[in-house]
Amino acid sequence: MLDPVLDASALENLLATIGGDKGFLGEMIASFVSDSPKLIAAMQQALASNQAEDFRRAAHTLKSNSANFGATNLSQMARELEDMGKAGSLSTANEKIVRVESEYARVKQALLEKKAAG
Amino acid sequence: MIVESDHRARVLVVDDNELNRKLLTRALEQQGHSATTTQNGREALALLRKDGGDDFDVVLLDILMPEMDGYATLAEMQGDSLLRHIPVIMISALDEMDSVIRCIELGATDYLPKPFNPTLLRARIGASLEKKRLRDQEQKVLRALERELEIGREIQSGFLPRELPQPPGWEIAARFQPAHEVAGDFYDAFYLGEEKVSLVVGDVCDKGVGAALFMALVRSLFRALALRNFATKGSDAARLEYTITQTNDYIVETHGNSNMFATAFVAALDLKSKSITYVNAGQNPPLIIGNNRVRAELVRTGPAIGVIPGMKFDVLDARLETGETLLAYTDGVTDAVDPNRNEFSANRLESLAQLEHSSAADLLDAIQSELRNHIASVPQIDDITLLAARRM
Repeated sequence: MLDPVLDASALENLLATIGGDKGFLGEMIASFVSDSPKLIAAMQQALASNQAEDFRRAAHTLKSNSANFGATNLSQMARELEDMGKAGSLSTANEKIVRVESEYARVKQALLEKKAAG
Repeated sequence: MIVESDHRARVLVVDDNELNRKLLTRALEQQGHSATTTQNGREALALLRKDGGDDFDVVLLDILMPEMDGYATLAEMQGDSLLRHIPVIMISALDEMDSVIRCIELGATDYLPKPFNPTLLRARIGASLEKKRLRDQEQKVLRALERELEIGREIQSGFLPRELPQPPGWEIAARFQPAHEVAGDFYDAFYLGEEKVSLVVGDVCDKGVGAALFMALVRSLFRALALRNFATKGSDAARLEYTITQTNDYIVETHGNSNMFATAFVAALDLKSKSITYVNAGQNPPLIIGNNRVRAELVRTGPAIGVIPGMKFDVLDARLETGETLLAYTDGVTDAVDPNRNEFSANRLESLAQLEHSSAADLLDAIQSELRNHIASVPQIDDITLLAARRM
């Protein structure tokens, strides 16, 4: 994987948005790490019950949240899932969710390292 | 001019995404604003409507939300006169530009791209705040102006007689329908001693506040001078002529530069002899109506008041027989246009006046009702004034 997991300039922008408060950034990371698995689970559940609108909304939130932290790849993948939900065609979604899960694992590790580094 | 508090915005953040709400709240507080958060459009509208829209300066609105999304929220806000003026900034990722455009078309002020950028946030909030500040200021000035006009209207209504004289054997009635808050028309009826009543219908050649002030001047001047002059000995014709000349000269000398003038019908009705001594200074001729016909028109005897210095006004006489009615009116009656721009016309007024009516009030009500039907949905352009005196 050549792409960096996290876009450093996006993280800097996020820090600037919250006034350079690293403690608050840590809280944000903790929220993200706690919420994202729930969003992925929600997508899987929506896929299983073929609820395209629920699927779309969970993907939309994951897209938005990961973009905040500069997790560009993850955000892009979530966007593709969101588009599938919007179009109501979830046939190839399962495969993509698996890739989202593994990308998320890398993002999570990178963010937790950031958080630990302070 | 701008005080510090003007830069602090009370922002309502509407987003179903908790992370966004937290981020925006912190970012807004960092920039000195205060944030209230809510998760969907329905809750947002309830908060906005709580104090008639006065609690918030700006709304940051997400598009995709459960319960009520950004489009529906915007549409509701635009349809609510109390919320319409609150600037709405859409929160949106750059890949959702189509949705943003739709929101701008629906009335949103601007958009803030996700992920958030502090400089853009500051600029967007600042611009929206400025827009709202100007709008609020405009509203304040407008309200102050309306208040002033309302005061003007109240004061002006004091220049019209509160009660009309009702001498035994006579009925005097009037109708006054101003086109705007303040009017240029006026009418008056007051006793000159015990055996005479003065009747006046006038129209100042302008509209709005200027005309209203001028109306107050002409009416008060004439009334004061008439009361004083009729307390002295002399014929009605001489005293009326003296009164109108004094009024005219004072206005020309003192207010000649204002280029204002007034047309007026002024009369002294002698209750004993039933005679009307009058000056018609440029007014539409009043009618004497009886036996279902217009028996006489009290034609012009001179130009409008306030035009020619030293003008001598001719004074004429008329008599009211039993059952006859004197009807004076301003050109707002005859010039009133219907939706096809047809004027009400003197002919129509005359044919109405010839119909059977049991009292002066009945006659005026009949004319007013016909006028209302005629004007229909057209905004009234000119003041409408009617005065009738009936010998029973």
